[in-house]
Amino acid sequence: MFKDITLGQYFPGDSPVHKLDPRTKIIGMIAFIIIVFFVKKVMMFLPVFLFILIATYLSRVPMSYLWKSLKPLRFILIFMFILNLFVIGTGETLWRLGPLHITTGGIRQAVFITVRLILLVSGTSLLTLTTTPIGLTDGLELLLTPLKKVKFPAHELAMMMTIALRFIPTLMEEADKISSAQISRGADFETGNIVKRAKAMVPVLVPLFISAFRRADELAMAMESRCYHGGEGRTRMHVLRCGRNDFLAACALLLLFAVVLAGGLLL
Amino acid sequence: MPIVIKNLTYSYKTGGPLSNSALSDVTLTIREGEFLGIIGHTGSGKSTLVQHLNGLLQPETGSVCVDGLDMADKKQRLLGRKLVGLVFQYPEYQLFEETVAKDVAFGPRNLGLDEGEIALRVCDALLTVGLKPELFAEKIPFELSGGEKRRAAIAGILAMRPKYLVLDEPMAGLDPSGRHEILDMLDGLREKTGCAVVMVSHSMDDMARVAQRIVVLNKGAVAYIGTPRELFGQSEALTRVGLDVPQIAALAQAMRDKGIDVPLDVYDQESMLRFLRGRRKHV
Repeated sequence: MFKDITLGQYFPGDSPVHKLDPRTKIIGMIAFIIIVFFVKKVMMFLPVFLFILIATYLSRVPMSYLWKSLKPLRFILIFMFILNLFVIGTGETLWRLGPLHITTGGIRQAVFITVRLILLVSGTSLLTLTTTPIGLTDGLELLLTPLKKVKFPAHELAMMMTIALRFIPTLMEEADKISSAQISRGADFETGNIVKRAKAMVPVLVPLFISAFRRADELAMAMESRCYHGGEGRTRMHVLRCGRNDFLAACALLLLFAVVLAGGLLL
Repeated sequence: MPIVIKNLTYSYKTGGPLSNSALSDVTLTIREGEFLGIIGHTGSGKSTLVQHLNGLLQPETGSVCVDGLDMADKKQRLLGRKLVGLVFQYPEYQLFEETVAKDVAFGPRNLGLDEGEIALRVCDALLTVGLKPELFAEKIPFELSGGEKRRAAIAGILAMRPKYLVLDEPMAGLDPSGRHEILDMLDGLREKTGCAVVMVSHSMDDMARVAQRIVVLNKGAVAYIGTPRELFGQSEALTRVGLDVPQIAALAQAMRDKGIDVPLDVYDQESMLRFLRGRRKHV
């Protein structure tokens, strides 16, 4: 019952996009988000879509994976679209029924919100699909390193994220095992109302928490006995390097930004 | 009526096309009241097999019937589960209640018994595993030692009074005296209540001590079923599937190789001692 939960959705690959420095991809994704919000004309969504399509093509991640990450959002997307369509009252009124009305401004807003959401989710999905969780935390740590000057615990934060990610599958497996054991003792997780079902989870959650604490304790011991003492003076196994492709990716994003800005001014 | 496993096949699907078969075509009957040992190398499918016995896993092909109840059927499975008590590996990790007594009572309570019966069974189960109720019943489970926790967890299953008691590596991580205590407790329980005990282990010495029949699993298939005496006489067959004979059986074999005429049914401490004493009289 817990085995099906997957966090992170890395799609293993060897493409130019996979090989980009995680820092490039993180900054690139932030830049992409900003670009999406700079789009002022519907037509200007086209180059942004084109960018995502090309990036997906280069990454060799099947389109269906991107689609899969959008699917859970379909209800929110439809809801946002309908809400904006009927609530926004700017522009010419095209149709009216009591308090409900559709205006040109409403249509525009509804389209904008929906398209923006789709683009944002696709962009971030592409990042998590092409970057290992470890790569992401590594990149994040290095990006946050300058903040160490103001006592920001960049290394500790990254280490915590790495450990958390590492232990998700372990804890899932453990939860599975404990719930099997409790089912063997007659526990019933499947019938009854919400309150009863929540109560039925206690025999699983208590042992799970205890084991999580035990594991944390053991891991801390194991790390300390291998002389771990925080990030200071620690070298890395995989040194991140920016190369030609990172430069090209940055150029592509700058170009996209320029196109979007120019489109907004000229059209 | 026994537990009848027919042509059971099961495979774990690990991410798409990669599926490795954990059990292939296992046919096995577990008789009422017997002590059956299941032995095999790591990854031989032992744990997968025992999880079929109470319907936690359902066969891909083939069938598992507990006293005629088909474990593939949802309703019959719930009834069958009451007959089969399954003790997982490291059962002490599933303790969750505030006191030992409450934790042991979890199973019987799920069976829908009345409070008087529950209290009786809890007391009885604690006595069986050798934890004096007056000392342990009100203790917090996490205050117990490792071995005591293990026994409290086993008591949790015993209190459900299963007709078939299935234990997955019940002695893992215990010291020799702890192992012997659990083994003797299981054997005593079987004699007293007449419930069948199915024990998974990879210790041949433990098996030699208590099992009446032994099933050897290798790569998900039954490699051998027979009595310890039949099995331990064939050390080569065991070595072939990556298992060792019990130390005493190995000693007996070494003596045979040296020309000492040791009978084939000498494979545990008792029989070896009997044999040696017998020889001394002759000399």
